[in-house]
Amino acid sequence: MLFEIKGMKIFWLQIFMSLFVMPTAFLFLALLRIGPDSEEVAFLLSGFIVASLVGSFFGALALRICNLMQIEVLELYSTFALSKGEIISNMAFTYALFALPQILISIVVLAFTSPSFNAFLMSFSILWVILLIALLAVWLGLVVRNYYYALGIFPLLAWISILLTPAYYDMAKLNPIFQMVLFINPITHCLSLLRIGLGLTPPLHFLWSLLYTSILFGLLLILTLKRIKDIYILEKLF
Amino acid sequence: MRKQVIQIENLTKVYQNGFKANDQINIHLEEEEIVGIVGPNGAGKTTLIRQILGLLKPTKGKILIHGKDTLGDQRIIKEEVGYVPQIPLSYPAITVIDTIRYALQLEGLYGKQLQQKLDMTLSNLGLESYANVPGYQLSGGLRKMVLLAIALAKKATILLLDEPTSMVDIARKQDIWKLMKRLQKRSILLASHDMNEVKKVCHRIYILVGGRVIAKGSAAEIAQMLKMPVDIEIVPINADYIMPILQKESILWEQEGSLFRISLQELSEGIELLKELINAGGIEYLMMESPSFEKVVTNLVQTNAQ
Ligand SMILES: Nc1ncnc2c1ncn2[C@@H]1O[C@H](COP(=O)(O)OP(=O)(O)OP(=O)(O)O)[C@@H](O)[C@H]1O
Ligand SMILES: [Mg+2]
Repeated sequence: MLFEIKGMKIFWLQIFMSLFVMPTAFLFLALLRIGPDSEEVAFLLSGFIVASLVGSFFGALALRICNLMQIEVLELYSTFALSKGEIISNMAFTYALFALPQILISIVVLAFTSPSFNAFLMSFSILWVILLIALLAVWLGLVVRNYYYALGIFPLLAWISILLTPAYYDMAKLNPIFQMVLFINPITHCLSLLRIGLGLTPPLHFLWSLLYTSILFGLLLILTLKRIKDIYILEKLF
Repeated sequence: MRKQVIQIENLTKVYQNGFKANDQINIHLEEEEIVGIVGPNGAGKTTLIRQILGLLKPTKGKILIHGKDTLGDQRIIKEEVGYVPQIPLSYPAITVIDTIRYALQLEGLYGKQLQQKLDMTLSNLGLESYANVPGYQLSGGLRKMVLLAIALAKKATILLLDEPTSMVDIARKQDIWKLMKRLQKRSILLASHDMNEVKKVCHRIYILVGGRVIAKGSAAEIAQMLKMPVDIEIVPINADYIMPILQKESILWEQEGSLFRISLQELSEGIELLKELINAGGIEYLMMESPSFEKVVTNLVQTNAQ
């Protein structure tokens, strides 16, 4: 674990930018809107948390998983007494750690500005969402496998799934077809889980989202565990 | 027979592009044995080793480590196998000492014991003066030394070494050979292009060409596998007695002053001839090039590549 973090030294600028500077800039924008309407702040900040998890944590982790399938990387790791499962969970944990600072900042701001802030629900949701997004990233990384394809896929995928999430706009104002699309997007449900701790999600929606993400989590877990056993050097690059 | 630590049965690897890199390979490695794999570039040595490590999926066949099939469950690989890759890899941002320390920590060492083992490993591999150098600054040969240090840090009973000394200077090479022979309770599978190395350290050798094992045995056995011509140069004490012998034997020879150059079909003929000459009158000077291990391997590889 510590070793993985030490090894990331060379990426410090990239990590600093994508996991800290960029989201912090968003956070700043969201804070600019703090006014008498604290509900709007809660709405934007919760949107920001999910967007930053998807935009930086998800993308970076999924890319890293694909990176593992490259000869040099897998060979290097296999010189140590590490199983493939251990390597993957170390990576997920490390990237999650890097994503935490700005999320914590947002949560602190929320705690002070949102009147219906519920610390218990908030921490439960945030942990659950991080876990789900990590699993999603690992699974997709293991499916795509090819790092060069991944470079083309994941940034776009992250961008689209944020777009199709009511992070910064109100879902109720969309037409029903779009609402359906948004409802399929698991990120929408992550958001709805987060907003319960801010009093922004109706309890019924919360239950639906919990059910949806739980089923998805179980399914992904099975698929991922299967795929972890099947991690090999990528034999074909193009 | 000693216990077999690796058994490979009918191993075939066809890459996704349809290229067959390993073809029905059967090899084994016994306890405390050093086995060499020799073969030209592209013969399939690295492909074979990567399959044993679970880095490539075999197309057909079986790989057993300590009797356990590695295909379904790779835990035994993690526990029992140390690996030095052919490519001189390094953790770019991590220093030599941190890299080796991590390998030892993964073996459950800590505190004083860890420090002792760390110092020992660094000094065994002559890496003390590079302890605080980050990976990206290491030269090719030094990277290989660090990789070897990581492999040796493991308690693993099996070492897979893919050209471990390929970039290493001659002094370090000799240290590594000594070290390899000193290791106890470990078995080594060694891919190499260095015939000298293979001859020095390996108990048995497999020759791999085009993905197939074409010969196996000890270096001495392989050296005798082909009838190779022998060239002898001698200066007899007295030229009188040599003529009748050379003419009688109907062999190829030429004379240059007092020096005779004689060509024979194989080693045993040469030894017979020398005996006869010594009994007849003795020789003053002898130079003989016997069929070397290198020559036989080159020959085997060439004839099989065609
Ligand atoms: N991913 C791949 N797809 C297709 N063919 C491959 C792939 N990787 C290796 N090969 C081919 O498999 C053959 C064996 O390669 P391998 O690396 O095992 O050889 P080697 O014996 O280790 O050679 P060297 O002595 O140069 O290290 C080569 O012909 C190589 O081109
Ligand atoms: Mg090779």
